[in-house]
Amino acid sequence: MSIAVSLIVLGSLIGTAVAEPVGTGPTAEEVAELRRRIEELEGKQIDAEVQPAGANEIDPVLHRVAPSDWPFPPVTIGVLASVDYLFTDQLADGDGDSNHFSVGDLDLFLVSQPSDRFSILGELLLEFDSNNDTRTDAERLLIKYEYADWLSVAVGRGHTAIGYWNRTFHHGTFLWTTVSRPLIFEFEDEGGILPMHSVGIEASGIVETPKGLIAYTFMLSNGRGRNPDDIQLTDDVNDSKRVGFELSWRLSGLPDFAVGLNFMYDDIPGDPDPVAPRRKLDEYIGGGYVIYTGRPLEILVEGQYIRHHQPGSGYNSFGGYAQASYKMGEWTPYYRFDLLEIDGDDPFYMPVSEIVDTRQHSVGVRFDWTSFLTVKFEYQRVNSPGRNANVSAVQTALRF
Amino acid sequence: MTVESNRSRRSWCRGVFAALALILFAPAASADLDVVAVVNKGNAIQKINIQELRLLYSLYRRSWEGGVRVVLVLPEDGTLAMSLLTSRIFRRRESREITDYYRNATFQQRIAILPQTLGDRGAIALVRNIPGAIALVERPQAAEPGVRIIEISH
Repeated sequence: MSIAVSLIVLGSLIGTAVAEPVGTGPTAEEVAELRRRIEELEGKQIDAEVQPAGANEIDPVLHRVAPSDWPFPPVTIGVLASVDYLFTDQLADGDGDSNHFSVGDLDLFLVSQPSDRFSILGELLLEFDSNNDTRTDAERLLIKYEYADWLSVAVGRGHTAIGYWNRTFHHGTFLWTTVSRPLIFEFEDEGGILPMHSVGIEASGIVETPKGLIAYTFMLSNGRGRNPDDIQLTDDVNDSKRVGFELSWRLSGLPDFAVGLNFMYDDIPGDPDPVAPRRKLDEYIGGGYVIYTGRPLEILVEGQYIRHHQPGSGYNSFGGYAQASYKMGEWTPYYRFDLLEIDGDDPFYMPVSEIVDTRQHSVGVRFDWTSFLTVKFEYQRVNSPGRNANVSAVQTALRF
Repeated sequence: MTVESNRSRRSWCRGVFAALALILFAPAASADLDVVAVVNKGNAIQKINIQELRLLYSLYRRSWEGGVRVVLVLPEDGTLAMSLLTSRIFRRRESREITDYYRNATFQQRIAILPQTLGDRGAIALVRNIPGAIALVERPQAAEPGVRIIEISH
């Protein structure tokens, strides 16, 4: 079509030139003017292809033709889900049987961008338990304003700025290379030892330097509740708030390589439980990571140190993991080593039976069947006090 | 005899390395030469290199100098521009990994809207209409009114 337009204009140019006596052809200015008109016509024609006649203007936020006069900003909806099969030769506390199929969490994910700099994210998780009950968790609800690359502010409930895994893979097994999360980053209600969620405000940004990218996050949020799985969504037991920061550095010459560190302080309220009362604790968490994500090879190494302190005594625990994977087409074989070393006298962790010293080797392969379906086969060797188990798992994870 | 054998082995090795280099780098080199970046006429940027494109397309640099938000346009699968984006900018093997990268970025709230995938002409039209837009297109298609061609340096 554009060629046709060009030919018509050029044809008229040639026609004019032929009609003119020899030696009085179009001047350079006339040729330039005609050329400009051709470009203008072609430009209008391309615009018409992208923006059909009668359609709205290109939306300044969506950057595409506005679909209709719908008064609300469009929402992108994503769903993450999984179906698992698990076999173990030795049961852990709370396990009902040695092999079973299970429906994993159903993760409903919503994201919208009502303006150029505002974005809203919501993540709703439907969790199914062994009593056939369904629990609904608002895992994330974040309103984010991006002022510039170096400063964004987000408020709401999100994943705590602690380590690489927690802020990268979130919920949804489809996003993980492995079947399960590293033990150190297990969620609070799954026997996790770290505060993976927080409700509050955070400022973050990226600063470009000649040596690479430095990313930071400062956060202020409700602190821990009286138990490790208390996420204080609507109030806070004490007036003290959790403060923390995370820094990471991505080298300019090796952008797939990054190192990071994080620090956090919280004042954990005492527990007036008449059976097992506990005094208030100061919690210090420090950790770091080294990652290389230059596919096909991916290496993740992270560690977190947790100190709980009360007058006269302190309790130290440590956890970490090292994971390596290598993508070969649709297949990604992987290995991970998990380590948890828990201070057995720590009064905060003591009531939770799942929080014990653990060493776990996981080896498996992920098969990316399509862009929305993946199948993982994994073998785990779990060593913890009183339990040395072999676990096999097959997971079908979906994203749509 | 040993010296000759070593020489022959060396020349054989050189030949293999040269062939491998041709196989591995020829398509990327061709894509490098034939693909340019196009930005809106109002964009002040004068030059761009692979590392800067990596910052832009990896979502680390989200604003142009002056504060205008960057709007990424993705090339269509199977084009030279997509080949450049996959192999040289993202340093990945498959273009599918690029779309996965952006999908995962929505889960991290690094972006809320997936970048549009458009052919050269559509990409140019979008860049003409959106001040912060940038696209990678094949050189012969790039010379259009309302946009500026930015050569990609290495």
